Order: sequence, then structure tokens, then C-alpha cells
Amino acid sequence: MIKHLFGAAVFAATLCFGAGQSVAQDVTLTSRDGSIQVSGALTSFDGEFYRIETEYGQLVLDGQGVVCAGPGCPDLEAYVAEFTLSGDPKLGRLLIPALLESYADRRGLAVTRIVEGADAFRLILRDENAGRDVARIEVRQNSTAEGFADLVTGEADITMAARPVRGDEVTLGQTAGLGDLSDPGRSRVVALDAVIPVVALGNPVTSMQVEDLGAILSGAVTEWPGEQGSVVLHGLENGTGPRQAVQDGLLASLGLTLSDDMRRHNSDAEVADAVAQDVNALAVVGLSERGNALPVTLRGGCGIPLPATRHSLKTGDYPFTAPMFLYLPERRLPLFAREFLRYLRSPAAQLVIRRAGFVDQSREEIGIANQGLRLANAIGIAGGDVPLDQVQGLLADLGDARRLTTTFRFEGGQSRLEPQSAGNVISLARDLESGLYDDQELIFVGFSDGEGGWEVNKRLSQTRAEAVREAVRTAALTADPSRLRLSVAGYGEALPIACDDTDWGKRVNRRVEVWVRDLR
Amino acid sequence: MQFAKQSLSIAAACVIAVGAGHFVQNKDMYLGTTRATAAPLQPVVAVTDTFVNTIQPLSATTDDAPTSLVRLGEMPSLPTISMDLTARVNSDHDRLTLPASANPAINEYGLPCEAKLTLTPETGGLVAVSLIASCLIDSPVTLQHDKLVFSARTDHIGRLDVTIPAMDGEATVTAVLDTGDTLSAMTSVPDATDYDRIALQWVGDQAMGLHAFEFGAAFGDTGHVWAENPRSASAHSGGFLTRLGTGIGPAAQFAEVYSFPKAQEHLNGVVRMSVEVAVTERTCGAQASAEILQPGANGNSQATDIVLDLPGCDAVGEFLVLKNIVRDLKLAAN
Repeated sequence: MIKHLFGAAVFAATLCFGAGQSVAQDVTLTSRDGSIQVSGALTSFDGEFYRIETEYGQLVLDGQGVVCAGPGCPDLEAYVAEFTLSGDPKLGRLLIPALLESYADRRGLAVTRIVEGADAFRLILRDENAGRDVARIEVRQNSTAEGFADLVTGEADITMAARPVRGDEVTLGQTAGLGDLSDPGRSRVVALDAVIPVVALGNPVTSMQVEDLGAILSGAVTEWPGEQGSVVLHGLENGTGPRQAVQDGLLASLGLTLSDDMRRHNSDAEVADAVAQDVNALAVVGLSERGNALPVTLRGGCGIPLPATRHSLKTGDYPFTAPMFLYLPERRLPLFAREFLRYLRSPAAQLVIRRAGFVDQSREEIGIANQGLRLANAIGIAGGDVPLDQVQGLLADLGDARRLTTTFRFEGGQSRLEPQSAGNVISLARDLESGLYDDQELIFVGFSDGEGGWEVNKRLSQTRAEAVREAVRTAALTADPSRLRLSVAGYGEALPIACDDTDWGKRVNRRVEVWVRDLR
Repeated sequence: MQFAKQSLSIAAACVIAVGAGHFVQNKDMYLGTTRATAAPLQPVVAVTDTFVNTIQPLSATTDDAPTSLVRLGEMPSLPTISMDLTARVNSDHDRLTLPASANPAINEYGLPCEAKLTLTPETGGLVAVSLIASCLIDSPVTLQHDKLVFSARTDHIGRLDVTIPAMDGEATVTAVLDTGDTLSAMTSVPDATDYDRIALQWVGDQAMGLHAFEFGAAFGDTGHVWAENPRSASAHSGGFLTRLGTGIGPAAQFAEVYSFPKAQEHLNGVVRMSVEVAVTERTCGAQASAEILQPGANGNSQATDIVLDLPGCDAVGEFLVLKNIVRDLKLAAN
């Protein structure tokens, strides 16, 4: 009865709360019009919601809708949001503090950073006018794995991860009541990075086949081509997220493991600095931390080049793109933390992400004129499995449209979207709802890998495109379908991005692109 | 405090290495490097020295001079003179200065009191600040520009000249005089926006400094820009550092500003930034605090206060290197 009366104010009563719980104290919450009243023991207040233990069970009430009376009432003005982020230094060292500082700046809050050691600091965000702290945020830099461990043990509220959550971590999280961490709703892709090989200025190698890189990294090949000398490998200490990304993302697909014979460093920045000083050095680092070293362009086995650029990271066409994640527990974080997470999607945050050297996720349009490499790939295979008239048809269909960087890919060829793609569904749906694509046609264009016959692949790619369109439509609840057109097409393997001779190559080729065209 | 212990043990190793005649720079650990004595951040140590020096001769002369004069023999007709010139000049000043109440609008030289602040834009996005306060001789002044604040002093005729980096194309400078009066002036510095500015500022006897390692430069290289190798805007060879603040005492404010020309951003690579904090006899065991100004996303300068606990006094002479406090300047040619 009471639950019904409180309507929307009462929800998620079963949500569990974690860090920052206060001792239960007696309060009485009264609705603003005075008509409804509940009493009980207040178990927590997060700056926005009261959680209260009552005779009707546990209730969660919106602080805006009620007035609190009694000894247990929190001082609304004195409420300070406290939360802890723990995990990979790639996020904790630069990106997260830059974003927090910039968010504080937007809210007019003064920032004090308390250095607590090499790997930890606290940010105190203060409203100078009101003379009070608004948020105290602890940032611990250890590793992605330790970040998940801290989340499981309740020592952190948010995990900073340089790789997706692993199966064993999902299991632990479920046991600890964090919910399913592999669920797209439990993670946010903050920024994009990529794993790239780097060398020093003066090293004549500017491009290399992925297989050759694998051979060097695994120690099977130790000499540079020609008379250049021995390769000096540099890398990160064991157990770090980016090192894992090299192993999982690149070497595992080639059936290789990372050589132990390398000079070890503590951060990507130090790896890049060391490489930049030695003409025989080679390392694989994050694109964001290439420092003064020079990137080497990778090529697939069939010769297709794989440049790591802003566009190729946003589209995911670069096969070793590494999204940077925040993982959230299935419990309500303080209001300030939730607002910060919302800010991460804003255009202002994308600027901060770019300045920090990462690739942001703002959507861009790529005209057909800037897709020369892709078209060259298409022409390269036309006439084989792919009939030439199909490639011509593709160009005729899309010649007046622009490709969006928003691209969808599926995990292991299944129907489940990859994390970066799952985020894309939400952001594209938001923009449909806001009317950004009114009077335009969005074409969901499916592509497949080269396995199997042309007719089958064409059908398969079209089916995938339809599935993605459905997902976006479902997520864009309030979009007006009469204002725009959502169409689908499938072109099989007609426009390859990578060679089909490896698993990662096929994975990159299986995708649904989105193209846009003006309707009038 | 685990980190402090950690850095101290490394520091000990460094001291031994330096003792053995090697210059060791330990890059990897916390607050990364600790280096042994003597090396950088001497400017602030030097200030301490000057402070002591100006006191010692004064007390020494008053004690010694009469004694030696007596020993010179029985020459009663000669007046006793102090050998300290400053003291003599000051005593002359005391005698020659008009009583303050006589005419407050005239200074000790009989010139009318005036206070004037002039700004002149200079190349390099700099502003020449010229203050004349003819009735405030050798007097403390606080200069403010944007979020920069530092202490200075007028000279023996009430003049103060200092060149500062403009943080904004429309630069406003405010001088707060010892009387509490403020003077403001404004000027356009068209090329101010051609520079990225990173500033470190602090109050009092803390020994700290900003370090920029341009494009892979190592400690002591030409591309290592800091107080000992500030370079200049006219060198046109990368960034330059401006050190501001000549005040003395616990309330004096200092700033170091590193400027990097954006026009050189066709360069690919990174300028690594760090802050070094020296553990001195005055700061050991205490809390160090400073303010960092660095470009935010919208290009405006963003301020962050930094607070950290310094190791105890057995670590005097060592340095803490803070590598991740100031964002590196990442330059990517598009």
C-alpha cells in the first residue's frame, strides 16, 4: 500500500548498497505535501536518495520528494560524496584526474590533490563560496586485476580497467553481489587506445607484418632485417593490463606468447622513452603513450595496411584497438559520481580525452573521398568471390552517403555486441531521440568475413545489419520514426578492412557500419 | 608513509653513488627520482644564504670594529666609524629623511609621491611590467596576473621592473602595494595565445621547481628546461621558463612558468613535465603545498592545489620528483 502511494519515489528497494554505509538511525520521512509519512532506520543517504528500513521493508526514497525529521537525518548541506577508483595506471595516472579536474572546473569547484604516494592520491573538490567540500575522491593506481579485486572486496567503488573483465572476475563479482560485470550496463568505455609497435627515430623500419611482429615479440626472431643488428625488446612488468592486452589481443591469436627476454619498465611512458633512445629497440605500447618513439604501421598477411588513426580506432577497424573502461558495481553510487559518469559522455569530456592523448568517442563522418584505402581493398578482391557488379552496386548505393565512425561488432562472431559497440547503441539511440538525424537516412550496412560463399555472406551480413537496427530502434524509445529513415543493406565480404587469414582479421571484417545520407 | 621509506632507501643509494663520483639519476621509483644534495633548486637555497649573510656582517662589525680601532693606537681625535656601508647609508637616510608627517606627498628625495603601473607587450607572449612607487622605497609588492601571484620588491628609488608571461591575450596585471593600495593596468598581447603555459607556484621557504624534458631530453641536456637552464623566448628553440618572485620570508610567493610555443606543434612527441621538491632543513617533516596551473580542455588555465607530506629531517638534501602531477605536453602532428 505504502509502496503504491509512493509510486516512482520507491524503487529498486532490493538494490544493495556498499561503501559509505552509515549506522542505522531513526528518521521520519514525510512527502512534501504532508500526505504520506514513513518512519524507520536510515541505513544510507547518497546525496540524492534515502534508504530506510521500515515496517514495510526496505524503501529507497528520492530526497527531493520528502522532508526528513529525526535524529538520524543527514545534514543535506554537509553531505560529501566519497568514492574510490582503483585499477590501471593508464587511466589513474592521467586520464581520470584530468577528467575529474575538468569536471570540477565546470562546476566551479576548487581542486586539491593530496599526494599519498607513488600510486595513490585523493582529490578534494571544494565549493569555496559555500565553504564546504563537495566530493572526496580516492584514486589508486595498481593494475586492472587489482582494481577488480578492490571492487569485489568493497575497497573501491569503480574499477579502472585497460581490458574487458575476465570470466573469473565476473564470477567473483557475482559472488560478492556486484551483479554481472560483463553486462554492458555495468561498464563504460571512457576512451579508446590501441596497442601499436614503436621504434626510435632513425630505425628504417616503418611498416611490418603482424606475423613478423609476433615473431619478434615471442623471441622467435631476434634480428632486424638487413645488417641492422639485434632487436632490443622493451616492455612492461608482468601482470600489467597493457602487457596483458598485447598478449591477449595480438599474440594469442597467433598462438604465441610474449618473450621474457626484454627490458622491463613500470609504465608505457617509460617504455616509449627507452625505445626512443635506442635505434635497435622495439616495443608495443599504447598509442596514447607513444611519447617520442615512432609508430610502425602494421600490415596483414595479405598486405592490407592497418593504420592506427583516430578514425580507425573509433570505427574499431584497427584490430588492436583497446578501449579503456570503468566498471561499476550494481549499487547506487553517490550522486556526484553518477553525475561525473554522465559528464564522461559529454562533448566537453571528449576534448579532455583528446588532450590527454587518447582517442575520444565523439561520432565523426567520413566521406567516401577519405576511404581510398578501403575502396582499394574492395577493388583488390572484386572479380573473385565477390562479383564486380556487386562492388559497383555498393559504390552506387553509398556514393552520396557518409560513413559514421559508429561501427558495430560482435563478440566471437556471436550475436552479443562487443563492449565498445554496446555503448554505440546507446549513444546512437540518444542522438536519434534528440532529433540529430531528422530528415536523414541512416543506412545500417552489414559486412562479413570472406569464409563461405558470396550469396550466404550477403544474406548473413544483411541479417546482422537488421539486428543492429532493431537494437538501436528499441533503445531509442522516444525517437519519432516518421522524421527519419532507418534502412539496412548487406554486402558480404565486399569491403574488407583486414586480411581474412587470421581470427582477428575476420573479426574486424564482420561488422555493421552506419552510413548517413540527407533525405532532402 | 610506505612510499617515503621507499624513496629514502633509494636516496641513500644515490648519495653513495654521488659520493663515488658518479651522477646517478634514478628514474623508476616513486616520486621517482631522488638525487643527492647540491644539484638543482639552488635558487631557493641561495635565498636562505643571502638572508643569513645580510645578518652576519652587521652583527660582526658592531662587535669587531671598535675593538680593532682601539688597537690602532691612541688616536682619540678620530671619530669611531662603522665599516658597514649599508648601515651608514641607512643612518644618513634616517637623518636626511623628512619627518613623515611633514608632507606625505613628498618622498625622501623631495620628489612628489607617485605610483604608476605600465605594461608593455614583448615578443614571446611576454609583458614588461614597470611599477614606479616613488614613496615606497625597497618595499614589498605583490603582483597578480590571471591566476599567477608572486612577491617582488621595489628598489632604492621605488622602481620595479619584471617581465612576466601573459596568460591571456588581454593581460591585466594588478600590483598590491605595501600600503594596501592596488594599481591595475591592461594591455593586449596578441601572441600570448601562441603559447601553452604551465605554472607552479608556492608560498614561503619551500624549495621546489618545474622541470620540462623536451622530446626525450635527459637531466642536464639542453632540452631540459628548468630554473638552472631557463632559456628565453628569443632563443626560438622550444620552451622557456620564467621564474618570478624575489620576496623573502614565510609569506613570500613564488612562481615558475614554462611556456611552449604552439607554433612548434608540427613536432611529434612529448614534453615530459615534472615537479621537484627538495627536502631542506626548513621543510623536512612538514607538508609541502603548491598550486599547478595548466591548460584545461577549453584552453583556459586550470588550477589544482597539491599537498604532500615531506620525509623527515634525515632526508635533508634529497628530492622528491612528482612525475604525474603536471600533464605532459603531447604534440601530435596531424
